[in-house]
Amino acid sequence: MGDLIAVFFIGVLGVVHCAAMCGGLMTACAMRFGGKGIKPTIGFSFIYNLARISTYAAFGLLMGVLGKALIKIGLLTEFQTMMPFIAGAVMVLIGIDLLGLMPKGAKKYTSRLFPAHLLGRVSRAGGNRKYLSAAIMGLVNGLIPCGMVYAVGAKAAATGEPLSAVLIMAAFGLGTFLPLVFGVALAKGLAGVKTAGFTYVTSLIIIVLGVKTMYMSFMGM
Amino acid sequence: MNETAQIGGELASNTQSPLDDCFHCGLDATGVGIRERVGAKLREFCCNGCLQVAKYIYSAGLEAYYDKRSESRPGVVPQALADKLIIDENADFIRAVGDGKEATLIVKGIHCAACIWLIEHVVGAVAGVETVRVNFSSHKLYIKWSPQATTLKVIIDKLGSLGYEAAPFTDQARDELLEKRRSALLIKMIVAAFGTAATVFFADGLYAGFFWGIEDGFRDFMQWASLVVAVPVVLFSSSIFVKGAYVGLKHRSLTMDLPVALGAIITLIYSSWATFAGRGDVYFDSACMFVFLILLGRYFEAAARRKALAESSNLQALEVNTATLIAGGERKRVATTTIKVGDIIEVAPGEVIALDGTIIQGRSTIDESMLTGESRPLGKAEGGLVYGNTINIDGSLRIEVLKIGADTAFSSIKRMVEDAQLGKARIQRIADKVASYFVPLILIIAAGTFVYWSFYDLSNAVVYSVAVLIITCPCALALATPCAILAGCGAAAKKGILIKGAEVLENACKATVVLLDKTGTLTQGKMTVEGVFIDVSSDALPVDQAEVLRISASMEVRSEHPIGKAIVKKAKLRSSELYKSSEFKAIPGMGLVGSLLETPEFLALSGQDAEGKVVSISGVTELTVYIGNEKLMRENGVVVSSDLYDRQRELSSRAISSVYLAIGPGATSGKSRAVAVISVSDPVRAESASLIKELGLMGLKTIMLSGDNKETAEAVASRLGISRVISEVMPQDKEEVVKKLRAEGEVVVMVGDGINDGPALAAANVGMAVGSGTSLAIESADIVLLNSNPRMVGEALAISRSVYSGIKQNLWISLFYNLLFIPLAAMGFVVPVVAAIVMPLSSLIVIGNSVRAARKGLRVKDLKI
Repeated sequence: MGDLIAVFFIGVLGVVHCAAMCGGLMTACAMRFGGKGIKPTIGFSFIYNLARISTYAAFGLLMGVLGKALIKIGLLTEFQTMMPFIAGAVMVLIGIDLLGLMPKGAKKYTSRLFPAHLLGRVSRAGGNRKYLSAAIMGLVNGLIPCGMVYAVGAKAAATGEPLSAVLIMAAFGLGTFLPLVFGVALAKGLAGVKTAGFTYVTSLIIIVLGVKTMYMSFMGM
Repeated sequence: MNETAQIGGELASNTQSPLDDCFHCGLDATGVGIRERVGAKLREFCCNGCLQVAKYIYSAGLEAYYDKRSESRPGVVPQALADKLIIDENADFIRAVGDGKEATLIVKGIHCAACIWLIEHVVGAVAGVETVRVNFSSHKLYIKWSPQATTLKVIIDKLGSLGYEAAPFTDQARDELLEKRRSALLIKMIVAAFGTAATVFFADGLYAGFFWGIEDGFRDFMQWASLVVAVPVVLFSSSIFVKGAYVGLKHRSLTMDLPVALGAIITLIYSSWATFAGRGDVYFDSACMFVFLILLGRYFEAAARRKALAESSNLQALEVNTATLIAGGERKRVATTTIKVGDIIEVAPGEVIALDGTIIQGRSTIDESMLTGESRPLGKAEGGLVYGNTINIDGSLRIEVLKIGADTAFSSIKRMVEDAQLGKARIQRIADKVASYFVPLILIIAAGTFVYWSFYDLSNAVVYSVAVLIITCPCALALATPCAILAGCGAAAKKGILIKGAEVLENACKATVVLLDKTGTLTQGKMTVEGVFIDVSSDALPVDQAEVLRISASMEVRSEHPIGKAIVKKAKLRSSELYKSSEFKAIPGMGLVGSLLETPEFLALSGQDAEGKVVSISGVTELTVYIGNEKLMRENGVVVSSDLYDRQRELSSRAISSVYLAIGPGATSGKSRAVAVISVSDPVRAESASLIKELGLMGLKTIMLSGDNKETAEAVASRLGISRVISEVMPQDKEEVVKKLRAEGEVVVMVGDGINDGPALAAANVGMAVGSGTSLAIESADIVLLNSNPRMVGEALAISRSVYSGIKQNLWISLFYNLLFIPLAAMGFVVPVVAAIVMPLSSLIVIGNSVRAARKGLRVKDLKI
């Protein structure tokens, strides 16, 4: 339960960090489909973010299955504790990155797996249907490369249980939900605010959680 | 200029993204270096996430967002960014060649052979790029492109997208890059050394515990202490390998960094796990130590490479940056780059001449050894040509500058040497291909090793597979050829032998026949008059040698024929007065016929013939003169005394060419009459005979080509020991001779002076131009001998053989090394630390062998010229 709360807060605080990125994307979508006024915009956002969290949950499920499989394989080679250990290390690294301590050039080498053009075309499938488009675009948003999603994903994999993994990702997603529903306004409001403080807290939570994951991997033995 | 304006314009209109801020989220993106074309414009991003989002937004047709957004975020004109990206297409490091342009760049970030492959393929695929070659040893990139189809900026951007930085190549840039790499390596090495010392100290305690037992608490402490030291040390010190491996993976090519990086990281992870788990052995000390050793190996390798490079670029050693300019009667010390053609410069004794020019005042001896390899200084006086980067030994000179910058002889020679080093031999392309399969193979072997041993002992499985990863070394494979070529071409250039590239080396050592052009190659190429033989028979005309030369020279003065020139030169030495003459008629293969418009002195003075009878000649306004061979005499009914005839035959048998001089009717009663035989010869160079002997010892057939008649040519050949002669060959037929020999299956080396035998040089497998650094020779020949000593021909072939065998040895060394050590490592006989010592050794052996091969090739240590 403690972990779930921790990832929830990673979500809440983390959104501030990435409001600029995902917020920008959402604003771009909302500008086209959201219509004028607060109400339609909120409606669009709600669907959009729900879809986004669904992607997270699905990602959690995938990670959980993967984690379980790896631990099963690990048992054969006495490596069962390796997986959570590596997952914890990944979290620590991502935390360090969020703190801005990684060499800047290193960002160049992070994932480029996101098939932007393909998904761009997919998201046109909704045509002018507002809610369908919101759902598709939300699902796509969930796939966008993001250090925090990966950090929490690693945590999810470390559980080695698909169900726990889904819960972890969902908790994280919920954490990001409310802030992003109001993301448009938030992005504007934060324009002049120093977001560094929030980011430090988020990063530290991730690092602590990572170390704990590494450490706990041996306690379970 | 167009290009510049266009780039500037593009950036100026891109007002949405202020300088160095992420295009999508607006956060600071300074130094991140993610720059991509999104929405048809080049934009900066803070991370790949933002980049992908931006691409996605454009693909989804939502780009209106950015337009709207920009209203609330007024753009800044990105002046600094614009400056950074401008590449002036007219910059002076870009040279125009025909329709295309070429440049040499220095590329940062080249790790291994796979990088070379990657760059050559990807950049080569850019439309408009004609040639792209990268040198592994010097990190130099030569590129030729068509300016209509692309620009250098596009090419540099492409390199950037691959993760390589490119800058114009200058010696300074190269040195800076080497220095930077060196210091980066050094720091990483020192850190690794520190980590090694610390972890070995901790490990000592652990090993002792392994034998005598150790309290758990103490052991834990030691392991944790090792972990705390080793993790940051290894991560920092091995970062160059990790980065290299990553860049390789991103472009789907496996580089040599990958196995090393994997080895370091796996050891680290395994040991960390063992520490956390509190069981299993830890190998923090090994991890630190092998990272240290591999860095040490790279450091030595860089040092050795620098040395090989220094050998090849001694041409730079003398480059001068300033000169004394004489302007308005005043001396001024200026930079050589500001001097223009036509300026007058002064060169003091002992000073290096800055640029090519003509001496207008003073005389001196000049050491041109850096250009020609010729160690004997040459005397030069007013009117003489001097070349930049040669040394003025003992006189003060004023020189009118003829050539500057890239046009000087020195620059064109230097460029040729540099280009040669960029070439690739077939053998190297094979080696590159093998190397590209190497890494995946090693990963498979390492994985196999791990799986096999994990059935017995997990800890051993990790150690053994890491040893496999570390010990394998395609580096040696990749280094084998470029290193040998670099050292070989460099050593040759020092001797005045310019080899145009790897391919040439390869052909030269497969040669079966050496075709030697007689004139200018085996001989000095300068006809001189050896003797004048007067007809001494009883009825001869009363002429003397001076008169014979004077009459002949009067006719030949407008002739382009080498014999004519020799006669004129000789006559001018004696008396400068020539008779007035009419136009002459040259008869190819025979000689010339013309008329004197003055009565020659001997006839005017004597006024009588040999028999004492006065002949009336005062009325003669034209006197016919024949100069030529026997055939000319015969066809014109000239009387030749048996004395002169015998003389001519005798000269011929001694390989000396000769011509008759005959004076026509009017001077004699009725018939034209030969009055003298003039012998001319082109002295054979002293070293020619030893060259032929040497070529024979190398197992090469020699054939002499000559335009002379059969008798003369054969006489020269037999004196030199050449068995086969092809005589009476017109210059334009030489090419045919080469082609015929090639059709017979011979591998032909054609040696000529590079002046009138360009087509033949080009037609041969290897064309070798002797004794000239003219741009003409450089263009048509594969090997240029700046020195005219014929022995350099043998020297050039010997170097080719020695370098080529060096290449083959290198390839065998690395093959043998890998075949020996990989199985040993897989079987668990080699611990990672030993692997880390052996691996760089193999590279060093290859480099050492290359330098040795190059030195061995230079058998004539000190040339006596």
